[in-house]
Amino acid sequence: MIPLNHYLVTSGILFVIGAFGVLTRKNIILILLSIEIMLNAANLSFVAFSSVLGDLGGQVASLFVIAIAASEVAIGLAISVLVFQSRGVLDPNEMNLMKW
Amino acid sequence: MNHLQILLFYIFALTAISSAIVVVKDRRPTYSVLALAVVMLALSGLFVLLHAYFVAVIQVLIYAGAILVLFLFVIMLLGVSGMEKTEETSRKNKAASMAKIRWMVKALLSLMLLAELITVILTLQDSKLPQENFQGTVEAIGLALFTNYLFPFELVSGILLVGILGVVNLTHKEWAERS
Repeated sequence: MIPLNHYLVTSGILFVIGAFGVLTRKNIILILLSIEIMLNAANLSFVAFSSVLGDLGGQVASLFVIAIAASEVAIGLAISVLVFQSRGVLDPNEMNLMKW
Repeated sequence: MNHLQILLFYIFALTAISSAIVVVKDRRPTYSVLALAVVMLALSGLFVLLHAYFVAVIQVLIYAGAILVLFLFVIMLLGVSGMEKTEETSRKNKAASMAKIRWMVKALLSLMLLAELITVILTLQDSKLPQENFQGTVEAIGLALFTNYLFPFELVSGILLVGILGVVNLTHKEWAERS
């Protein structure tokens, strides 16, 4: 039997790696990839708590997270393709058209 | 049986964490996406260890099957070489010492977040997983989705519809101009 803490620490480490990726990557597509890691870490703790509490709500919530992540990725990638076509950059620091 | 579970847990957890580090650190975008596929597969192994069978299957089908293929498709569409070049030039633009200080500040912030998460986790009372008489089979999840969680389920389908319409509207220029 594995303690709950082990699952939660794994999920926390994955979440922090994803957050570090969002902070450091210079490419908007790879930032979206890091956001996927963060969503998956949240899913892991949802499922672990659902198993602790004996309630299926956590697993249903993780299914919802997967569905929302699918639509988020579709829209985010479409926007990044459009930005690349019109301005030729993928670095969020270069997307400063509306900067004051 | 028990020892096998513990061994499998550590194998899957270490695989997930090390491939997540590859996703964040590798400069080649295709390698990042493939490492993310390894993260998804390891996480679905963890879900099976938690008796969440349906979530594990959906993880492989939707994430490793659909979302990552979408990522690979867009990376191939934009061109791998151009993408690596943008990352190189934006790195060269900054002074080297300044970039190093920024990197260290970001690493420090992430480590602080990790320390905070772990201190919170250690205050929880411990319990052993998985519990024997609790299984997330297709039947159980389906019952939950279509009884207790029916309204959020329908809302999610609405969000997916809005997502499809938004993407078509964004990318299909002539269609958007005609309508």
